[in-house]
Amino acid sequence: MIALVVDDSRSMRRIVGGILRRNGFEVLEAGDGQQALDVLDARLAAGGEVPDLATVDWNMPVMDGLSFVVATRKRRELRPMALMMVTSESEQSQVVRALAAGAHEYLFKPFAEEALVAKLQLLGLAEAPTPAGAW
Amino acid sequence: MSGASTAAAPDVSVEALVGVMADLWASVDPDPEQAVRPEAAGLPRGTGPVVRGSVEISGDWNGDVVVALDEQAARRWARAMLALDEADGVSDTDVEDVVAEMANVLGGAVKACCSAGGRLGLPVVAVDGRWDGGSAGADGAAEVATGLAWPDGGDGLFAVAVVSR
Repeated sequence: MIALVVDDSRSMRRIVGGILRRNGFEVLEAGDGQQALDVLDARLAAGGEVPDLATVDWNMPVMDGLSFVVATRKRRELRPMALMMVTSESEQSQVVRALAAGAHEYLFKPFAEEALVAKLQLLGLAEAPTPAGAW
Repeated sequence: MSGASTAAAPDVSVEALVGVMADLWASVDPDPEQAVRPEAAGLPRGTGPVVRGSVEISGDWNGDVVVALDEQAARRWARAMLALDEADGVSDTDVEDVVAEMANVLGGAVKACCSAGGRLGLPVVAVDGRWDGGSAGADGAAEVATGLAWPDGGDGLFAVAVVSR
């Protein structure tokens, strides 16, 4: 599986990327929404597959995360990519805006690794834990 | 720059600010078994230059959320958030990146406490900033401010503040 981590913070790209790698992802990175679109365009032009997942910060220079979500939802070839907002914007109204724009999941910063993995499971991108007592 | 506030300051407590910083630390702590988390401490006095990160909230309430750390504390955060070994150098760029993210995360939490929401700006970091007690050197009044420290000690100034305009 392939994930694109979009965040202007290098430290946050490291944290999110590290969790994704531990869960079997190859990780691509971009520092803002426009860079992320450029990464996707270059990948598609080279015949590569669309990533399975993009994690997207909200507040970034050049192109913010919400604009990136809107831009990708308008492009048919990018629609298979799951979009997860990973942001410090934690008001309910912002969550609604992001989901209405086309994001599939929403995770507040700061977060524990287990919380991100749980979101991956909801998206079908990580194995759900085996119920206690199951064989 | 935004105008004067027309709404009350965000309803945020010292405990909430400390909790956000502790949760951020817990998410990157290289040794979670130790569960060493920063805790509330006395408000530090201004000393030497600090790394000062701030993020603006604009809307019905206008103000800044500020995080200030001396070099030792800033480098501790940078090592943790960038997973740097003791042998690795920590550059000013590393410190700026990490302190900017600290301000961003803290700002998001404070904005969520604003009654009418608002807009969160992009973080700004000054590596030669000043900590001036509760006002954090800004042109405004601190609504809430606290120092923080790790229980294992050894670190210097580390403080956060919410400042009205």
